[in-house]
Amino acid sequence: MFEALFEGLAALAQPVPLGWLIFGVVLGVWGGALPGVGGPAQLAVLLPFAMLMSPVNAIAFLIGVTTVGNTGNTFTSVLVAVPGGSGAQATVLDGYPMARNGEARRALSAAFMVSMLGGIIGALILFSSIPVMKTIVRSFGSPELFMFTIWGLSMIGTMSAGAPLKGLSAAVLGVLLSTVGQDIKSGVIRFDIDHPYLWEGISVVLISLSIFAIPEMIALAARKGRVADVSELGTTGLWEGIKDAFRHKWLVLRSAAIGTWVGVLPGLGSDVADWFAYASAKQTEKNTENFGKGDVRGVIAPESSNNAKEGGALLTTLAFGIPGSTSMALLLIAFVAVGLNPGPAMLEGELHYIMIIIVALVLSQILASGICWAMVKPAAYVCFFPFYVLVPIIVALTFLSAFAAHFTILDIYVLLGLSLFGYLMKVTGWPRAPIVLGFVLGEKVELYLWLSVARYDMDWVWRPGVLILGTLIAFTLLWPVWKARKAALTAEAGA
Amino acid sequence: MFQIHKSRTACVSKAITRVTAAALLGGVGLVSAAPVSAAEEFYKGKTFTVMVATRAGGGTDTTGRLVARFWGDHIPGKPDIIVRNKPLQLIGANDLHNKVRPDGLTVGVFAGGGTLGPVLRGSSAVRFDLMEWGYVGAIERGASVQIVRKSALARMRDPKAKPIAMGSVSTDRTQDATAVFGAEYLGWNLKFVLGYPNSNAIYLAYGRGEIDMFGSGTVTILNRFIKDEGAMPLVVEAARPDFPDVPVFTDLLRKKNLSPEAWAAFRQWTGSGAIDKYFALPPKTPKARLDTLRASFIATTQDPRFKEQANNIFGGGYIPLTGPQTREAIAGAITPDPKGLAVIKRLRAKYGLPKVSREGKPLVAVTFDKVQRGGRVLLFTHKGKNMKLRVSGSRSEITIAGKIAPRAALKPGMTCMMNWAKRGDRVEARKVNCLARVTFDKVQRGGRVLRFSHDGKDMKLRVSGSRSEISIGGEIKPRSALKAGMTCSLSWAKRGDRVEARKVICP
Repeated sequence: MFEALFEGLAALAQPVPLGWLIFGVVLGVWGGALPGVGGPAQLAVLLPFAMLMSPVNAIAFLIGVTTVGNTGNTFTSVLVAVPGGSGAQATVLDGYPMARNGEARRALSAAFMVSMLGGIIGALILFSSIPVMKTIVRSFGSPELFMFTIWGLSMIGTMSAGAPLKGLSAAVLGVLLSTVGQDIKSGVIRFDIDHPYLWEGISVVLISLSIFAIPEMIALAARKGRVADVSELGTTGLWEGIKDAFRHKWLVLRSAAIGTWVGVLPGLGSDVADWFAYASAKQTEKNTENFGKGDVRGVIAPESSNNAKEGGALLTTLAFGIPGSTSMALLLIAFVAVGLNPGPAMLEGELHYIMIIIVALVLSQILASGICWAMVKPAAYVCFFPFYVLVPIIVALTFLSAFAAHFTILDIYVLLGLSLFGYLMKVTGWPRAPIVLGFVLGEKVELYLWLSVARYDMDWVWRPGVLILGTLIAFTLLWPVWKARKAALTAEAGA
Repeated sequence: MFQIHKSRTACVSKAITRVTAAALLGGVGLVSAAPVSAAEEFYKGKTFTVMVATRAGGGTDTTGRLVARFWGDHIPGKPDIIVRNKPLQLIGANDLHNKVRPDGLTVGVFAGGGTLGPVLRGSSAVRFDLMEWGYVGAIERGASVQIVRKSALARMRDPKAKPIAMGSVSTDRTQDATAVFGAEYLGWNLKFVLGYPNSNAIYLAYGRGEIDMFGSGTVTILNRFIKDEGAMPLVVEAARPDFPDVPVFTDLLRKKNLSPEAWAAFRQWTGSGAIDKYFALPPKTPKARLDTLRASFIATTQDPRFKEQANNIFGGGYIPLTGPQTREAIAGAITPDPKGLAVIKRLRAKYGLPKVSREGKPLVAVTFDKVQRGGRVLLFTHKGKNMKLRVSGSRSEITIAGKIAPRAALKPGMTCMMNWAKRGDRVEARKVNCLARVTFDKVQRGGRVLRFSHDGKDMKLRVSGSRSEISIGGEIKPRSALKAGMTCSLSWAKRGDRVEARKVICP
């Protein structure tokens, strides 16, 4: 295996592949930083060019483009509460409050540092798990994936800011919104109010823009101020961010492991890793009262996990030739076109290509974080733009991204309608994160329950994996209650 | 049944001949010669969208992207090409019909099974009419191969053993028909696990042992599972040179002496797969654009770069079809056969497959004033309006006194229960259930029993006070109003060991 690793290193350490890698990373970061531009859409445009390259150049270029979007998209999530991509939704929860507290540089710096660390940890996990890869992935069937999605939903309690019932209602609404459109399983069209626009369902981009971005911009305009509530950015933010990353090294490691895990399980979806990591951080860390108000750990957890996820997702794509997401599916098409054979055979005959991919992944993460880190200082000044400059720019950008969902004016109407709803939720103090989480997980909850029952009837309930995950869910639900009780008892004893 | 396989092979070989001939004679260039300058002007600097009606990564997506890669070089004006994916075939088809502008700048890429299947079984999700689309062409790959886990094979014929789990996406693919007919007529011990979002999810489910059987036509996938994943080919739908020793499914079925209705059902269900991956434009796209795209599609498939890539991906077993050939194949595949449909409905219910059938329009009773052109045109009055309906030889479903009948059997003065639908600028009859016209010899027990002769047989019908619907002179009447000597139009059905009148319409 190490021989193949060195072979991979040698193949990549040539001027041409390195050049393609750098070009890919720059495009990937740029695409990530502009909402609606990056991700699968960008990859689809670049694919035909990559298909004409040699295998090593194609790997360098495509890994560069694909795996760094989650680094670039932190800028808008932190600075203006616009999730730059599906992997950066949870970053908004604490990133934006940090920007408002004048800690934009610290948040971004920490985010980029942990993005790099997370990405590297993900690649290392990928490297070390090659021998057991098959067993891990195959131990998860539809029932276990169903329990995983339920576990994800059970975390809404931690995101509900002390209002669990409101959080639950918001999550249920999110799940219901995810059922709009044509059902993949039976073809039945649901809740379409007889309008063709809704056949495809509501786009997750519209949901996250309207629940986070527009309400924050309305609030900013109403405040007639700037994003940052303080007058100075401070000079220590950059180093403070880096120190934060190492101060919370276990959180970084834990979140990276969660990210890799979510990436490894095909079908769980790439947009839930950040939510899982955020919720887990909030549950397991101490002194979490500042979460949601600008706690750097709320940025570290999602950012570490969303980059680590790339390693995991690549793992299944390469080991089985089965992509876990649209980006990975496109990557797979390109790999096949340039003559690679992703699948079990690749692990035996073409291991050096897997090593090139792993090395390219690590290099991309380092490069992307370096580029982003260099841009933190100037970018952070966005927080000091007056509202009359910033709000129109961001609202216009948001509308453009929304329009890219289906390229119809109805996208804008839906964005406006949902934004009004999102703003009402904001001003009335309803937790907004659960609605997005419910939406993201809703379709999967339904699909895996359907498949579990179709395959195993009700016997799936007794599968060992299901029982273990069931226990974890019970723990997730009961842990906050137990913690609160313990705190109350301690307070009583102190009094 | 031999015709199925033969007709498919014949169609395919005809296609090769025609396509090759067109290319050799420069027919492609001739077809596009006239509108070239206008087309070039139109497409220059524009973006041409290839809308793949599935998620990225499956066979339809691979085919769409492959054509898209080289298509731009063959469309006059060399437009930029982008590929967009839709989450589901039906969403793509509904979008193409209802939302996509018919300007020749967007082409949809579909799979036969995913779109034609729901049309055939009258799915309520269908909001499109395939006959209104403009067909650009198709890529036909090899027939589907059903593969099964070797270790599960012993359970295949043992009804007491745990059933073999057959995984699929939507139940409209031809491999689903193969599995259902295998279970029904060859005694395969199967359990259907449906609802996987795409082919990749099926491969993964096989990998983790959730399912033991699936079908695919892609040679790289088949070889991978056979070589690395302990699978073996069980049957092929039609003979494939790369799987010469695998039994052909229709040969196995033929040995079971299926009824004509069962064959009709099989033909109908698998017919949707007779067309593989096809490219279509929305209704009302200008003909000149359709011609341009048809010509450029065939030119693309003749491009050496395309051929090289296609050979890598499809293993050499692919055939391009021209637009008119595609249209012809689709028109043939979506012609419903009422006899077959009844069997399909029964089998779907038996094996627990979704039955999302469209609710038919209610049937109304009409009496034909005139029947013209051997039953092709019906004239009658309905709600005070004069109606003129076309009757299709293939799509209209005609029964007389409960028996399937040809349209030539329709006569003036007949009273029939029927519904109809618009088709293009005409109105076409859908269901025509004609009642038998009889004269009662005796009416006994206050209208409870009717005696008459029909088709040379003496009949005795019960009339129910609640279930039988009696109308005399257009008004609902009790059964006691029926008298001997009346001439009425009747329909009836068996109920237990008796035969009961359903509708009794007397003038």
